[in-house]
Amino acid sequence: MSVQIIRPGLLATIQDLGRYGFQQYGVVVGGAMDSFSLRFANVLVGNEEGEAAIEVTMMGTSLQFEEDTLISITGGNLNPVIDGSPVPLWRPVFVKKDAVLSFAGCKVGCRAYIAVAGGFSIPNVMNSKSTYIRGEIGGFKGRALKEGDVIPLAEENSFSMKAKRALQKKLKHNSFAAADWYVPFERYVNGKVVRVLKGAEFEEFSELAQKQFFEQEFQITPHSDRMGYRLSGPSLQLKRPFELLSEAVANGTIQVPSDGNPIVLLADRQTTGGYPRIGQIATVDLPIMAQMKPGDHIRFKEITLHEAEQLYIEREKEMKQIQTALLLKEWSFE
Amino acid sequence: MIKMSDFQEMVNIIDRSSVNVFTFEYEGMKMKLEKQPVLQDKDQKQEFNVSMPNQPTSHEQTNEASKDEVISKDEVITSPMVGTFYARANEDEDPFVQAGDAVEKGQVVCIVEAMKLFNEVQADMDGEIVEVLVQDGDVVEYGQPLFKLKKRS
Amino acid sequence: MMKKKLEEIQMKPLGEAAITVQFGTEINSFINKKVKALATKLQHESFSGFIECTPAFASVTIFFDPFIVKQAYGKIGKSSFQIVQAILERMLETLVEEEESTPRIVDIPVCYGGDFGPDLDFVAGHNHLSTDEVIHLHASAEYPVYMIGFAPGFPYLGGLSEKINAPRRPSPRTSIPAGSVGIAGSQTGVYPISTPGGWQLIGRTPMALFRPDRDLPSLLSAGDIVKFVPITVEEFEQYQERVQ
Repeated sequence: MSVQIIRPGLLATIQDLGRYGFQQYGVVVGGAMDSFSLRFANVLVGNEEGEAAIEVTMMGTSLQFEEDTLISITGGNLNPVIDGSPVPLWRPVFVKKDAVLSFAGCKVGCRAYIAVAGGFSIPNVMNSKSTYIRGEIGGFKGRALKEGDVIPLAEENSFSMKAKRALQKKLKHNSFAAADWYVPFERYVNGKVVRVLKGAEFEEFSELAQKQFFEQEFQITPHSDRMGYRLSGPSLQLKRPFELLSEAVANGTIQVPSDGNPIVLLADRQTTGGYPRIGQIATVDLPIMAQMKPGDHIRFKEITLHEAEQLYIEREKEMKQIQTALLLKEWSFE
Repeated sequence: MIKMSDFQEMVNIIDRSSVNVFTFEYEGMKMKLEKQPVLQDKDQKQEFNVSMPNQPTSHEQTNEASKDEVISKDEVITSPMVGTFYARANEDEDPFVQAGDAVEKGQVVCIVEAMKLFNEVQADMDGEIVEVLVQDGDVVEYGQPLFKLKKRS
Repeated sequence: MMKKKLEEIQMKPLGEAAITVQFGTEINSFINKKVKALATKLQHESFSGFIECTPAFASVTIFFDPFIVKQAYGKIGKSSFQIVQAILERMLETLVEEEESTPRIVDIPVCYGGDFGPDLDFVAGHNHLSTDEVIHLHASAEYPVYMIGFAPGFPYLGGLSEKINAPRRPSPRTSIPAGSVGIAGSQTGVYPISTPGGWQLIGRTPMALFRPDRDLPSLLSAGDIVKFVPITVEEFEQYQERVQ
C-alpha cells in the first residue's frame, strides 16, 4: 500500500513529534508545527500518537491512495476534498482505492495533518521520521514531498481494519465515507490570542516594551516559516543594550533582536539562542501560533507558570480520555 | 472530568460489544465491568460496579418523554447513546435544525457528546421537524426521543 | 565542594515544560566543567518525565513532560516545576566534576574574506584593524569548544581575541551558507548547515561539521580544541573536490 503525491502544493513534509535526545549536538527537534493536531490525526486511525503524518501547508497539495485506506485529517481547515467532495475533519475517513485527496486552500488555519492507518513506512533518522529540510535529514529522502513521490504505508492495526470495514458499509456514490463522530478540538488550534509566560529577560525590556508586548497587536510577516515567525508591531526596546550568553531556547520562545521585532521560535528552531527572551508561549497554545499565517494578527496574553502547567496537565488528561473513548469505539465497530 | 453519562455510555458500548471484562482506571478511580457469559434472558440485569469517589450518584434520569407521550417510533429521532445533547456544532453557530425545518434522510440534526467524542445524529427519513424535545446541554438516554418528526409523504 | 556554591546556582523556568540551571553568567572553563558534569549526570540518572537536556556555556536546560512528572511524583503536592527543581538540587549536591583529560585538537581550514566573509571589513573597521590583522588574530588562537548548539554541529568557541569582537547584526540574515565562520560579541563559530543567523561572517570552511549518518552527528564535541587554518580559494575548491 502507498500514497502517491500528485502535486506537493506550497509545502508538504512528513513529520512526527520531533527528534529528541540530540539537542546536545545542536540537532533541531523539528516535528509537526501543530503537534496537538498530529497526535489526534494518529489516534483517530488507531496509530500511536507520535506516528509520522503528512503536514500540508496552506494549499495546493494533492495525493492519491493506491488501495482502500483509512485516514484522518486534522489541524487547520484547508478545504480538503476527495474526488471533488468536501471531507470532514477530525474523524476517521475510509478512502477508496485510487481516490484523490486535495487541499483547495485555507479556510481556517494554515497547516493540516493527514494520518494514514499504520503510518508511513520510512526509516527513522536519529529516532524520528521528521523531515528537517535545512539539515536534509529524515522524512522522505530528507526533503519536502515532490510530484511523483510514492510513500509506502506500514502495516495496519486492528482498530483501522475494523473501522474500515464498518465505514465501507456506509459507502455510497462518493469515493470516501467519514465516521459520524469526531473530536471537537478545532477550537484548540484556532484563535487570535496566545497565552504567554514572561521570558527570562522580560525585566530587561523597557517598561513601555513590557506594556506594548501584552497590550498591542502583532502581525505575522512573510519572513515566517517552520523555524520561526518574525512579527511586526511595536518595536520592543531594552532598558539598555546587553549581550547574552547563548542558552537553550524552546518551542514557542519569543526572542527580540536589537531591531525590536519579536521572533517566535517554532518547530525547526535552533537549539540555543542569544537574543533576549521576552516571552514563552504556553504549550497548550502552540497549535494556535502554528496555525497562523503571514498577514494574520495576534495578541499575547500573560499567563503564570502555575496556570500554564495546569492547562498542560488538563490537556493531557483530555487526551487520555479520548484514547479510552476510541478504544471503546473500536469495540462498537464489531 | 469524566461525567456520569460517560460511564453509562461505556457500559452500553461494552454491553453491545464482544468484550466480557473491562477494567478502567482514571485518577484514582477504578471501574470494572464484567459480563455474564452467554445471557439468554434479556431481562436479567448484568452486574457492574462503578465506584466514583467524591461524586454524588445522581442517577435518576427517567425517560419522561417516552412515558408521557405516545409517539410511534418512525416519527421521532432518538438518541443512539447516552450523552449530552447539543443542538449546534459550537457556540457561535446556528442550531442544526429548528421546529419547522425540513430535513432530508442522512442530514445531521444534532450532536450527542459521549466521552468527549461528538456523535452526529442523522435524520433517518425525509420530513419536517415538528418539535425539539430536549434542551441544548441536556443529558439524554440511549433511545430517548430527541425530535418529533412529520414524515414527508 | 559543590555544595556551598549551590546558592550561586539559579534555576528558572523556560515555559512550563523546561527549566534552566544557570551556573554563572560568563564564559569560563570552570563553569563549563560544571555544565558538562550535570549534563553527564542527567544522561545516567534521569527521572520520570525527563525528555532531554541542552548544555550551554554556563547553563543546562532540562526539558520534561509536566504531566508525567506530576503523575510520577505528584504526591508531594508540588508543581512539576518545583518537583524537577528539587530533583535537580539533589543532583547538584552530589555533582562530581570529571577528571581532566587531554583535549582533542581539530584543525579547521578557513578561506577568509571575499564572498566567503562579507563582514570581514566590518569586523576590521569596528576594531580599527586591517583585514589581515583580523585574519591573523583569528587564526592564531586556540579555541576550546564550550558547547554545541544553535544548529546541528554548531560549535560555540571560547578564546576569541578581545581585539576582534563585534556585535551581532541588528537583524539576522535569512540564509547563511553552510561552512560560514562568524563572530558575535566575544564568540566565534562555524555554521554547519545553511540557516538564518545574526553573526558577522568573516570566512568559510569546506569541512563538514554536521554528519547525520554518523553515530555522533557532530564533528566537534564540548571539550575539543579548535584551530583555524587559513586557506586560499583554490585550496577551498580542492578540498571540496577531494570530499566529493
